[in-house]
Amino acid sequence: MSRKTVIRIAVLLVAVLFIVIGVFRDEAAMVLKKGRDICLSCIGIG
Amino acid sequence: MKKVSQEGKRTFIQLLFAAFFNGYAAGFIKGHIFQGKTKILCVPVLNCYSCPGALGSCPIGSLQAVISSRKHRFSFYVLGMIMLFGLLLGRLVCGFLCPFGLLQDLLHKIPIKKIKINEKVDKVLRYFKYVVLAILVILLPILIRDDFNMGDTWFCKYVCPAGTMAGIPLILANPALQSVIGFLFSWKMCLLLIVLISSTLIHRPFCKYLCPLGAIYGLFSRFSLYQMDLDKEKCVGCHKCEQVCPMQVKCTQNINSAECIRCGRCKAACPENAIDSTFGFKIKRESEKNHGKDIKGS
Repeated sequence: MSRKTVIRIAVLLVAVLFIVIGVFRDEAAMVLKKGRDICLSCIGIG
Repeated sequence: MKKVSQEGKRTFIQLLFAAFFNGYAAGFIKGHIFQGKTKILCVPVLNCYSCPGALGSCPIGSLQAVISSRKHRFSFYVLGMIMLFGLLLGRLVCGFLCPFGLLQDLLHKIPIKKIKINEKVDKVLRYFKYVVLAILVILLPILIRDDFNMGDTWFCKYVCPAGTMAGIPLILANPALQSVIGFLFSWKMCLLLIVLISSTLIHRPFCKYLCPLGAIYGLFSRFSLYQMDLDKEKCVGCHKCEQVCPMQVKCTQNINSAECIRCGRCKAACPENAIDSTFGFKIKRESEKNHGKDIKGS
């Protein structure tokens, strides 16, 4: 297996692991909450 | 029947994805944003979640929102998603999926005299997006805290033109928001106008010099599953690929440069069909075999 393929598989595993950890740390819920409110700073108001 | 050009096909795909990521049409009419559960997911592009049509969350906005919160200083969730997009597609996201990239592409089609930036100046300016990523997206939201231990979303608040753009239909349709616009809005409108006007003169100035998401995806360019491939045996060194490249990538030297947005213009321009694109875990043998060989005529 080439070095590039090993890196690809490693990145894939780390990415999936990070998403799972993030869900357990309530980060996904935080993203949903933020996304549901109008972000005033994003549109240049607050 | 007239054959659709490669650029025409790309524009069509860009429009399709812009509509897909902003498919909540009622938001534009009623002046509110989508509040459904799909916003738990980040879209791969810089598409503000305050755009009335946005169905998903912006990865850069979400990243800052999490790391500037009281609870966290690092976002596994958002970083994991960005890594996944980067691994699968890399900067193909910029070339084919990003609505703000599409807007810049369309503005550049306006037939006025274009500006050519000095190569050395351009090379230095390209690093600026990494500075934006490190300072405005990561460091300041983590380090600068208020009395309630909350940080700010510095990039979204003071720079992001995609956010300002998203806010325009929202503000136009929402009188309550119109009553509270002030200096910050004027500042962000000025930045947006600068980006839009310069897009008519320079190809994708925001992507080249400012976009923190493009900077992250650029780091994945060498090993993302979608790769450009130059067959150095077929290449005759005519450099037509480099002449048509909107990102000024030296295709014959580094076809998978961090600056390449995978638009495919090089592939379409090559008279010898020496450039191809591949997708998958398996590495194309030819490109590995040819690695290190010199290009004829360069």
